[in-house]
Amino acid sequence: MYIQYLKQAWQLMKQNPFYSFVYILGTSLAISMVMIMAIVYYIRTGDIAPEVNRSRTLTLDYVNVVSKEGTSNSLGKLTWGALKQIVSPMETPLYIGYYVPTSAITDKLGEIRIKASGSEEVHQLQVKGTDDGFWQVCSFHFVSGRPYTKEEFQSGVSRSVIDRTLALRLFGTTGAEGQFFEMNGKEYQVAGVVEPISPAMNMAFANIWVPFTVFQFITEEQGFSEGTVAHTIHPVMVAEGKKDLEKVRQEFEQRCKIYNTSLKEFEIKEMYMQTIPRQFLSTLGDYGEKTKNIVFRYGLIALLFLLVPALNLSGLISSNMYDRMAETGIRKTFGAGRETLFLQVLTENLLYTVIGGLVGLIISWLIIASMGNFLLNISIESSRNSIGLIDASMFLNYHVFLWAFLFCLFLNFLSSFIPVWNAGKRSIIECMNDK
Amino acid sequence: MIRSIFKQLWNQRRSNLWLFIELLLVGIFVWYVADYFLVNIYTYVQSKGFDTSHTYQIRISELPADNKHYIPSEEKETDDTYDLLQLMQRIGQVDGVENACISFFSCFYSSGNSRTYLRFTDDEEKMEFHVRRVTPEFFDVFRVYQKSKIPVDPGQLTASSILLSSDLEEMLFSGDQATGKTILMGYREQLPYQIAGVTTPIRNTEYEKAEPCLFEIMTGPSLVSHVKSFGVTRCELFIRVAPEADRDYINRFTDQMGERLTFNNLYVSGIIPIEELRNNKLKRYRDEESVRLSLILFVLLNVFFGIVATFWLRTGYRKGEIGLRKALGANRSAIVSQFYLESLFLLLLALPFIVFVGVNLVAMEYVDTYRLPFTICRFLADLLLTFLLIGGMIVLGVSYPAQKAATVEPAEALHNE
Repeated sequence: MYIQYLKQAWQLMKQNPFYSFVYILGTSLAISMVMIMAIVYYIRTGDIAPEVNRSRTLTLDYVNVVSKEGTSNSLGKLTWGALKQIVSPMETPLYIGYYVPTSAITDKLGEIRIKASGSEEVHQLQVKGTDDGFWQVCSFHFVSGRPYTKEEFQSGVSRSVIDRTLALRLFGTTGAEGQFFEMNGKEYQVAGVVEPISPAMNMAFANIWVPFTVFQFITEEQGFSEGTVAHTIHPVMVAEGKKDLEKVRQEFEQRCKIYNTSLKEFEIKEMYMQTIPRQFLSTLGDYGEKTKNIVFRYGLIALLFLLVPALNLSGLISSNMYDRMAETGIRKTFGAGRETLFLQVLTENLLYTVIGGLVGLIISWLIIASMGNFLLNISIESSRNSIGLIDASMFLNYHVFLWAFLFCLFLNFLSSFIPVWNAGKRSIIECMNDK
Repeated sequence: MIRSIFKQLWNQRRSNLWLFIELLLVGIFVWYVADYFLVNIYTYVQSKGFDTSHTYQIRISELPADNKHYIPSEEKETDDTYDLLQLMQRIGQVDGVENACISFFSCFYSSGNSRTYLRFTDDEEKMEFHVRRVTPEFFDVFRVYQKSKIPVDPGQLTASSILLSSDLEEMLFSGDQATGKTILMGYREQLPYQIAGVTTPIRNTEYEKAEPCLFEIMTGPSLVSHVKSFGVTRCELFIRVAPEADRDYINRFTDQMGERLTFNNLYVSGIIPIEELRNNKLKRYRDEESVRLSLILFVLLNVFFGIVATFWLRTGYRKGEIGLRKALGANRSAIVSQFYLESLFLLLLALPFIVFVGVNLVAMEYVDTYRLPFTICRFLADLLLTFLLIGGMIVLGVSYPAQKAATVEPAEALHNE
């Protein structure tokens, strides 16, 4: 039956190219806009290599440390000293990693300049400080060599991992492990070379990764409130599965309370742990805005994207239904019920919608590919020395297609429902007589 | 005339209803965003109170203790302020540098800021204000002028001078002259300071409203004490470069500084054009603008398609009517204007509803009244902009179907009927 409807729809499409063209264009506009939103969300929060564990990751947003008299407080992350006592001994997470964002390092070291013997100096690179666990939290593809080990991290030796592009620029080869380069006056040895990372991967992205124990200003940062609060190191905890996130959160809170007993004047009062999607959503809103409000606002925008084109389509469908009144009348005479007619038109329109949806999806890819820096909120610094913001795996996957199809269904229903329902209301006599 | 248009609209209500709802929805949205852009543009074009073209920030860092050139404090004979001033003097000698200054938490387009208390007498309530701690050259480097538009004279500034922005003067002295008066300033204890001048209002960025602020002058002993309390690496060093020298300046600066980049434990670790800080800072606002602009474009494009589609199909149905009107003597332009009028009338019908929702949005404080007070003029400007934008789209969308309708041959149309 549905095949029959689709065949008929195909015939109608050929007969009435203007109608089909406008319908498909309207649909593609709507779908492209919502899919831009959906794809940006997916790129930011989906399990995409190298950040394959995002769905089961908890990050520390901030802690609120207050003095016991209640006269002062400081908000921030934890110092290395506190992290070693609170986070490192945790047992529930599958992996624990730490990283220091590139900006924290450039703020301290100034512009990053790198030179290897026999190569030109390379400027404005992005350096991330990490620990050894970071290489488990994110799953990098090593072209050669290996990450630095736990022992290397703990002893603070100047090892590094660099990306393939940089390896080629510095040493002319991707097999650069064991080679030396100088970064802002300090010599580093290459431990491994990885595939370049898209700056859309917030946590993983850098051109060079080094153990942050090489920087005294990080490990020996004094911090506020009895050496508890600092802002540099970001701890990341990966749970075994999504359902274990709560356990990790509880253990963290538990350990904070144990740590409190070692403090004299202060205590960690509130601990805010966030999942990656929540963290992303909070960057969309104003400072301190509730996630609920942000979701509501973006939901409203998405609805506008669908509703306005749906109104256009409704107008089109209702004229179309008027044209086909005689056909409806005849079908009713032969016993077709309202639901049958409704399903028929819905199926017919679905064909248009799916074609429009595909066109829209392609438009959204083109827009993201050309305006990615802005849509994904990539800073000017990160885009400077990176290649390829987006790769095909971020688009061509079942998540994206499924979402696009669901939006199509919704749009189809939204635009067809009222006109078709109205058309079904007319009596047979009315339908046949009008012509 | 109006009655006939209204009748036509009513007869076509089946498709007009959808169009009407769409225009209403889009109208409200466009009104809201038009208001946002109006406020943004109004704010953007106001004077900033400073000029950052040809200015650079020089980053100063301290050697880490494990560096081989590091001089331990017990072996060092000079203090940080001396080292800093030496470094600044060397920077001042580089070709093209017109002037250099030092400040704390005062860089334009940065997110750092500092606040302090002001009051006139000891028993008054303390008021907190944004303070920029600067050396006297700051005013020349960033072209911050007195409210009378004359440059600030650095020779008259001492360690106990402060300058107010004119909006702060208005706030504290309500119309009286502030220059020459004394005021108590400080975070823990308030000490007397001489008000040495009043500057134009200062804004943080092009998108923000001016905020009352004051300038504390750091010179001699007050510079030493500030460097000591804030730490030398937190200081901001700025230079202004002669416009004719400002080409590929970052490379030329680094080449020229060469060996002289270091003094004792301090060294120049980078040079950044303030324009770059500006771009970073404004990115958030510009992104927001692009998002809203693309949303507007999207809804307007939809209006266009909706109008084209509706009126295109309508020409088909109304062939008979058009033919009849032509036969009765209506010329081409009468048919075309009938189409335009019908569609624009639909928008006009939506307008009262848009006004109603708009008024409610204002009442519920969903629009920005901080940067620009909400006046009837602003409301009318928003409405006009909304009408022009959507109306423009409607005219564009109707034009083709209308032309097509006007070419209908009366005899043929009536024959078909």
